[in-house]
Amino acid sequence: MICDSSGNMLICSDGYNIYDKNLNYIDGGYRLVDSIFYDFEDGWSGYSQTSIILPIDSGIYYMFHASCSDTTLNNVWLVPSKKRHPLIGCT
Amino acid sequence: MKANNGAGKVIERMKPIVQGEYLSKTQMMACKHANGQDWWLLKMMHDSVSVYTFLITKDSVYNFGKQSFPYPRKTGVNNGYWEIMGQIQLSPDGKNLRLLVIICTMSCFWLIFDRCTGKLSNMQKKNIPILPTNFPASANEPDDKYSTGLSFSPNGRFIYTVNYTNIQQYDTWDPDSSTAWFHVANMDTVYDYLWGTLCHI
Repeated sequence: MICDSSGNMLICSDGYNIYDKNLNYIDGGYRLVDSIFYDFEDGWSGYSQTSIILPIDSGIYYMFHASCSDTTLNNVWLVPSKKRHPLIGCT
Repeated sequence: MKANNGAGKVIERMKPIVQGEYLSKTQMMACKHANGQDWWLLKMMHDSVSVYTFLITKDSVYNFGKQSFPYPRKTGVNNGYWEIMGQIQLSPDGKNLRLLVIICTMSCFWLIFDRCTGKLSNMQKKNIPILPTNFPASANEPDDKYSTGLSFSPNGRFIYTVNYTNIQQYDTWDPDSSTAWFHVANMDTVYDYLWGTLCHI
């Protein structure tokens, strides 16, 4: 969650989406990961420290989150004998 | 954030900064670079005590690579699911050298993080006392051995760890690690599975 200097929320995220102060998706903030992986994770990440938003410049923020491509999901994650391979994305 | 009358807009999406690695789903933390402008981003691997370090500037993201330490990492009874456990935290003081604490399921590691260089050093393994789970429904898990959450006190002196049903405190000023641990609390209300695994401190 990012707030202004008065503590008013500006944006927040559940790991896979970014919301504005009214909890609506911001422009381009819906589904920041591949679609099959998004559905696989039920569209949100309930775990701690899976994403972080950093203020970079005036009005510019980077959000980092662990993710997985749909290809890797199908070929690795969902194959019991293989390991998972999350990657970090930057939004 | 200036776009759409202040509601904001995503300018660039889904830009990988590292791929093909077996990263922890959780355990990501950032702190300011010693120059006061840039950021360091730290991200744990899943199956080893290894930390990826990235330097974040307003112009780019620089991958400083992976620093690995020779300790086995236990990931619990099911390597896939239990990866959700664990946090990493940096001490909150303003010094250039900060204490990085990693907690992952059944292990706790300390390192010194240099905010000037991004280097980690002086790895130590700390044993968290294993207390009884102390809950009737936990007959199959009598020991509360899965540590999940982690936090520093505001002054950086105390470290708090949370397991399923117990919170413990470590006094970093105590030179004797055998007396540094203090049991803060255990579960005294309705058991909630999520308390330990998801709702970290």
